[in-house]
Amino acid sequence: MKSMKIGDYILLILIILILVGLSLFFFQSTGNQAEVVITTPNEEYIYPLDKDGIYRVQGYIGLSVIEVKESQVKFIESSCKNKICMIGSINRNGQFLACLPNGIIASIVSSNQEEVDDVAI
Amino acid sequence: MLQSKISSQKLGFLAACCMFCSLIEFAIPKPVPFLRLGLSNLPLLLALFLQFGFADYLILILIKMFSQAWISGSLFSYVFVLSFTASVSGGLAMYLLNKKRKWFSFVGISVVGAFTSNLFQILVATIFMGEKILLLFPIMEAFGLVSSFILGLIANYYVVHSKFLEEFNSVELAEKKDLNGPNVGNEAKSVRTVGWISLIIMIFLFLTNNVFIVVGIFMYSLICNIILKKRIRVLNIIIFIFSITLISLFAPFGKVLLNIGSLKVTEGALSVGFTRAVKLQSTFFLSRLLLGFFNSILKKKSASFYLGRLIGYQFYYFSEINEKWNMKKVEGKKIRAYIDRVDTVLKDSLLS
Repeated sequence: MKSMKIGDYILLILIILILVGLSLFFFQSTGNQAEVVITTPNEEYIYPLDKDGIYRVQGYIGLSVIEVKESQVKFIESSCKNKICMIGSINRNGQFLACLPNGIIASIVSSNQEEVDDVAI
Repeated sequence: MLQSKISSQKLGFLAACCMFCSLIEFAIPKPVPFLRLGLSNLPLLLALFLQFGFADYLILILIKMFSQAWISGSLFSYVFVLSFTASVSGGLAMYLLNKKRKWFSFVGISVVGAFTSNLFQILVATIFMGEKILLLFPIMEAFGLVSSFILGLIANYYVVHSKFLEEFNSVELAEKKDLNGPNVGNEAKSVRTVGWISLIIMIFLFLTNNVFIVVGIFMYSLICNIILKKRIRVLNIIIFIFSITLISLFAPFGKVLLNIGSLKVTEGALSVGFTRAVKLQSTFFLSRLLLGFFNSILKKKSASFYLGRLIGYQFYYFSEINEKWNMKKVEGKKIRAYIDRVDTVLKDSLLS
């Protein structure tokens, strides 16, 4: 330890600070991505909101097709009669779409708590 | 500016030290494949102490990297890309910091080198292993911080007490005529055939994401490695595949199969992670098979050009160090006794 110079101590402190800062940043950027959660009568599916895709799930009556496109989620096909579920689309945390006859709910879930409060108001 | 100021004997000697350190590092079993001690950075610190020019220093880094890849057999796998990034970024950081030796000792230089190399390495690793690998960043860096700190202290102690370094600065090393290239052993024709097949399969492996094909290629490369009597560390392979798959689960995709606490095991993420892990492990196995014919080319082209001579000296001194290391016994159990032993071994090898 005697051989260490003043610059070493400064560097050590700096590096530990950068390490903590970068770790937090990486956890933030990789941990807080919004997800689309689709629940069916028997199963649960999770897909990322920021990746486009078309997903088919089985409900009470038949298939429902849910599309994720440019962070917008909507039903594009449904086996139910009234097709109410196909009317709107969602794009924010805490929002959901439901097809009650077919027993399918699609919601956007993010671990970022602030946004949830915002939507709840 | 970029001209070699040091004789190829001396550069070869330090390269041999790097290779020897890599060998020791490779022989130490590690719990997780991402954690490294960075022993082979010690010769780089010595090169900085000896005030190597930038060109010589850079050549030393490149040789260090290639010999590491050669020893571990990862030359043609994704690991090489990672170690290239790590070696060059860390090496440059250490070189720049060394310009201000008034303010820093080797502890600072070593710690910054390790931090930089780990940072760049993990950023590049996201290409191969997905963004979620960044979650390992704190563990990797914390481990690197401790090991590089200790290495820095050792280097500080060593440069003051070493007899080898005194000798190294003053001695003029004679040219050796009968240099052999690396002793690559007997490369049978079957090894070369396996090498060619592996090259084709390797290309194919990059193009597919089908889990069955990937597992098939994995089995092929595993069996070839077993037949050719390459060392297989079963536990390491299992831990590697398990940890890469586990990290991928943090990016859920598809049907939820299982809930473990707050972690949801999804079908898609499981398949993506497993395929990715097996693929990476396969490139590593295939790379070892590819080395077979790479070695046979190397053997033919042992020449008189600069790099050839350099590598010649590297292997010459490597065998010297290896031999002297095995002869000399450690007296006492303290870490200083080990450092003294290394010093004597290096000095004897230099003067042989």
